[in-house]
Amino acid sequence: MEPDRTERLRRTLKKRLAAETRETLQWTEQRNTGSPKAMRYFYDVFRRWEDPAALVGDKPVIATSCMQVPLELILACGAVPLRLCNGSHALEQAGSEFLPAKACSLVRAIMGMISVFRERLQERLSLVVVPTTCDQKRKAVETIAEGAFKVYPLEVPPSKHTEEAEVYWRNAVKKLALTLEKVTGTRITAGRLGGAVNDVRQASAQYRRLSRMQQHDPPLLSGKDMFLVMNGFLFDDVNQWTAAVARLNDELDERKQQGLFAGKGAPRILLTGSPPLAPGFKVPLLLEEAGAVIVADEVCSCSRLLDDAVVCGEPKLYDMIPAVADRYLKPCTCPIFDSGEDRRRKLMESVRRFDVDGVVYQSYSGCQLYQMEQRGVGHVFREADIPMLFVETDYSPEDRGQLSTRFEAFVESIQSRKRRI
Amino acid sequence: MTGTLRNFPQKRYMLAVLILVAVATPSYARIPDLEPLYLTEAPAGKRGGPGQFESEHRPISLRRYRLSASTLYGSLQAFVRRPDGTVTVPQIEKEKEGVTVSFQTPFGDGPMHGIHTLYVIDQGVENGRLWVRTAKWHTVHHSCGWGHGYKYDKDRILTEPLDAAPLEILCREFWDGNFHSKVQSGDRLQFRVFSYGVPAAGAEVRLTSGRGWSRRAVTAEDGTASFQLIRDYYPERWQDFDRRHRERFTVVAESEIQRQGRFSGKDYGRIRYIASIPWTYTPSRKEYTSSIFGLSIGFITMALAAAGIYVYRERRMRPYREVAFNEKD
Amino acid sequence: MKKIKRFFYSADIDRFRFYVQIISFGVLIYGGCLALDLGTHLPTFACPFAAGAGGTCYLFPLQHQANMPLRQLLGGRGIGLLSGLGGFFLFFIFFNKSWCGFICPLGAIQDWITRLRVRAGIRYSMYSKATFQRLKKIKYLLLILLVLLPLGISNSLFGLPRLSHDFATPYCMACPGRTVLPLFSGDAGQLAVDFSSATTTVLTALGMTVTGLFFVGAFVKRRFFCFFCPMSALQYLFSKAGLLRLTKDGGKCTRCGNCYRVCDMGIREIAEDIESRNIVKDDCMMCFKCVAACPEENCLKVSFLGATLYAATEEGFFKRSSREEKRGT
Repeated sequence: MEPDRTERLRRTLKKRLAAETRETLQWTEQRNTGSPKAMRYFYDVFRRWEDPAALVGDKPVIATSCMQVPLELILACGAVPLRLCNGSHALEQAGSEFLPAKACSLVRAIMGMISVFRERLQERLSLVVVPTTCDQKRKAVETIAEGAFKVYPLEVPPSKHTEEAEVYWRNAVKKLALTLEKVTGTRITAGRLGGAVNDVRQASAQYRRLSRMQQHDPPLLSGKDMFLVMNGFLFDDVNQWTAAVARLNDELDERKQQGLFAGKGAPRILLTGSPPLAPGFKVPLLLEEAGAVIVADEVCSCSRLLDDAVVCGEPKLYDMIPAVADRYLKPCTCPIFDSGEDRRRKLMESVRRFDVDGVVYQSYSGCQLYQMEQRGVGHVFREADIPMLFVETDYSPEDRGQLSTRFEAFVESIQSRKRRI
Repeated sequence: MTGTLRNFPQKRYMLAVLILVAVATPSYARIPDLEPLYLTEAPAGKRGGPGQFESEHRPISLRRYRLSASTLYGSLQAFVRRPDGTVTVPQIEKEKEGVTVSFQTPFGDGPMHGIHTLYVIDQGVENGRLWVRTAKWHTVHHSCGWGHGYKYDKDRILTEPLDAAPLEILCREFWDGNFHSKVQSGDRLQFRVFSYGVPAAGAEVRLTSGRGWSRRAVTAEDGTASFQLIRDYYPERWQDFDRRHRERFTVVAESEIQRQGRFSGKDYGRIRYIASIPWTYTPSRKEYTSSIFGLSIGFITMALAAAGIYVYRERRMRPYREVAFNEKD
Repeated sequence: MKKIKRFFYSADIDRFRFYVQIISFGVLIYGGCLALDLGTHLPTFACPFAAGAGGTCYLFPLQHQANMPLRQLLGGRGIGLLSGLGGFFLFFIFFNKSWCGFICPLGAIQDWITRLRVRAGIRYSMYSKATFQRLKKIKYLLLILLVLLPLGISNSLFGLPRLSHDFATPYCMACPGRTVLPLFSGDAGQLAVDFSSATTTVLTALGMTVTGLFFVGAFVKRRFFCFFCPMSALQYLFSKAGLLRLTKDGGKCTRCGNCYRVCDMGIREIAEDIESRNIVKDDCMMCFKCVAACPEENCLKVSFLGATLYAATEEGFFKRSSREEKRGT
């Protein structure tokens, strides 16, 4: 395309992105008058999606395309992690240019982000770390590199629990650490890494506290708000985010005393599968509009970010870096691994802990992995007599009506089951 | 002149007088000094003859000992000092082979668990001298199975003099807190000589090792005398060396005082006290152990292991570069 | 009550264990000087070769009792062996394998050596899975040998001639406890090689080699010796009956592997096994570092007779982590 036209297209897309952000905010901030006051911080953070390239500040930025990249290492180098994953339909369409027709929406959105904001990102990003998790992200390495970005493929093993996988992944992370040091020009010391690990651990502690609010019946926070809060973690400063969540938790404690709940009487849903990402939270929004409340989730843009915690045996790099590496591999329930057993067990444990009434399993069309795992997960829920709804969708707003209908039917069936029981 | 010696009845008369004088005169020079009295283990049927040492670890319930020399006077006294300090009288049997002393040592942890000390005292007047000979014997009545609870009980571990013993030799370095004999060749032992419970100065003490080496000393003011045991176990071949080889040594003390008195119808002007005590010793640990060897082995092992680990870690830093192929057809 | 429980669950068990180890060390190495005697059935190393020890490790009497003719062993005297084992069992079941983690002085020494290594910034070593599986069998082999070899002294086993008496405590000759623990009472005599016979030469030389390996091994691998310890093997035989229990709720486990990371022994099963309830394996020394490292609520629990003493809690995990961070460890 001629440079002119490309530029015009880009401007259009940016405007559409901004519009999507505003629309989501409308559904969450404005329609949700009963939201806790502390949510305002997170709405403001979300507003930044109107111009995502502005998310980067003074420090060197390391972009990541998956949650497998150890954030602690990036933070220890004094850099800022930026997750390229997003849920914008506009960016998805922009990215379609680089990918086959049946590609995953998320990878298309990443490519869209890279292409639409290319100049801004080129001047800010020091490195793009792409973990070789699923096929499409792995092939995207070269495509991203075409955009004159420095890309570093982080090798993820196809197994989780074998000894070879453990060694392979630890060495991959060690190599990443050395690369990050070189790129940022800052040495990773035990002190800095300890500080970074502690920051992320504090965030994890606050997240767990928040998650426990959802175990309550009825939950104290709506699923939409939960998604917005966790989404903030992807591109906000860790310490500021932690402090804001702490404030939110305090307020929710108060609200518990006052008896202010979210989703009273609504069926409790567990959302699992492909991650809903900013600025388009189509499925969670529609689901909650249909009368359900999402109390738990198993997606890599929400609870999986901070579910697990690092423990260091000895306060030296030879132990801390493998510790950080292990935390990102071993408990990971991503479907890229050959065994989905840990994911199924985690889902069942979540169902138990959050007293879930039904499960919505969403998958992006183009994501073979989540679709293939659906069989095994479905078995588990059928045996446990938990109703599960499988939804295949992408970022486009065209199937909103269809989804709404299906969600409403699902909610109905759950409610009638509850009445029968 | 020839007439005097040829007078036969006069010669016969003079010979008779000479013989009478020879018989009637007591000869001090011909009757020897009395030997010290010793006690030895009585051979007990199955378990071998003389020279067999009492076992320190396998106790027996009846202890029997034989006196080394026959007593001439029939007045024999014997005492057994038990571990709890009480004194009892053992049984004395006069048999064809000699005099045997025996006493019971019941099993088990209790007042009988520990060191039993046997005293045999023989007195008699000979040549105007009262000979008081004491033979002493320590027996360790112990089994490890009864426990070592008395380890820190000084009354049990340390031996005390007996007031009724005319002369005795005491040594507190024979056994350790676990009632195991600890005397090794090369050790310097300190002995103390007591007479009726009071330290005796000026007594002559002689230590004789199992192979005949001996040393003399005279006790000091407080009755002490010390000896260093000789190292005398050098078997021809290394294979014959037995680190538990036991050898007996004996310590004898003698002391004489001037005193008039009468004993068993005989008068005496001097009293000679003799005391004896045997014990065993084993080869010194220094003879067969070597700390240099041990430490060398330890340090060399550490150095090699540390070097090995260091080299291993260094080599793992560099990824492998070479693949070697087997060229055999 | 709940608050007290939460307080305990947030405690740093490693620090508590550090102090308990110091006290145990004092009691077991120096207790004899205060006339403390915990007996001869202790399920931990308390070396009888160290004068002044406060008790004796059970392996010592076990080896002595195995030195018996088979007829006697299967007859009346075998009761002694059984009662000894019974005494050991009674001592053992109270603390289960935490005798290893909290009380053993040799374990304490290894932990102190580890602290030195961490201070020096030297990386630790861990066994690969295959090596781990192969090496863990050695402790059972040692346990079998320490019973068979003394048995071979009084009996002719497998058609072999009877072994010499120098094999009486074969494990003690090889154990690093015999060489290292007496050093703390100032006795370096055990570091020597005993040349009195071929057997003792080989055994004591082996002992010094093991000592050298012990120090280097404990420096690079946490609790190196405990992997090969026959006492650990003997304890594991009875571990299922222990009153102190370490249990896991497999459903809550996310397989994050934190427990395996911090485990000194490197036991993978704590993380990998999600079926078993009792998670004490034969190498486990029940130091409970795994419980402290688990962020999942009530996944790992330490209980005594049903009452929970220590459990993995979210709150505890995060509190401990931030405390460590503040301390700079």
